[in-house]
Amino acid sequence: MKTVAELLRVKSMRPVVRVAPDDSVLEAIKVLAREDVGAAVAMEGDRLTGIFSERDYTRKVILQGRSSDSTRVREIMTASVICVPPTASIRDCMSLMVDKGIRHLPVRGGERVMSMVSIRDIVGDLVADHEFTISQLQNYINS
Amino acid sequence: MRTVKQLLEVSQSHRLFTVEPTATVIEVVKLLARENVGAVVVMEDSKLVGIVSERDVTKKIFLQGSNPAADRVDQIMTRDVITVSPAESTRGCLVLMTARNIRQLPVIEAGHVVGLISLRDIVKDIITAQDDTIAQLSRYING
Repeated sequence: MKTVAELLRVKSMRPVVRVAPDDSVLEAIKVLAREDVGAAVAMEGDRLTGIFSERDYTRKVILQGRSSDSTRVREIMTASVICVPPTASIRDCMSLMVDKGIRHLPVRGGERVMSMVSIRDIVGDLVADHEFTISQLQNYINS
Repeated sequence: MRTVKQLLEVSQSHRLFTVEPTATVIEVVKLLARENVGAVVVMEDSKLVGIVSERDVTKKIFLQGSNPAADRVDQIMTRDVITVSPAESTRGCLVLMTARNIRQLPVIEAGHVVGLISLRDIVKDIITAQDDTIAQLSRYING
């Protein structure tokens, strides 16, 4: 089974989209829109402090009647971030996403955030990977 | 690979939440949060007129003078809705979702909306279906 590191190698390598915990929510939303992504990592220097998503915005800003101008990312970000190591299998990532109800997983090697995989990134790969396994097994049976 | 019809029978995809085009954005955000879904369909006189997602709500923030308590769903919804029939394969849905960069597909049968398929529903299904196939083939080989 392919690992996250291998997936990232084939995926067009794009630096992870980041915001700062002290950015306003409005600034962070602009970054998400500009990069056309649903979530960004909140970084203080090289340290991962949280993950900020569209869902955080709709549920914690709009719903709670806060202002996107004066609310800081750190007030609404998800601070306990579920990360995966580059050696994690694609399959492990899928299971984590389904079980935890999340769409994004930062990939962390040591303390360094290397990238972020989204549910969309790995869907196509998972299908191809399993098709390969199935066709191998079928070849074995037919040979 | 399974059809949309089969997926509707085993997944949460038959849970369909609807709003009217005159509903306010804040009402939609509340519904999305309460039901823990990423999108709802917009119906007028039992006719599908749009779909509204977290992404639509998030993008709305950039419009001048936006006010979630007063703005209406028909100001932010996607009107050009891409739909599938129950006979469509889940594979076909994945291809559509990837190509059009969307996460939800309303299912239309005989002119009626009968469900809403999400990327997550399909991912769960792929994991389950492929596990079953591989287990069957492995059993056959190991006899």
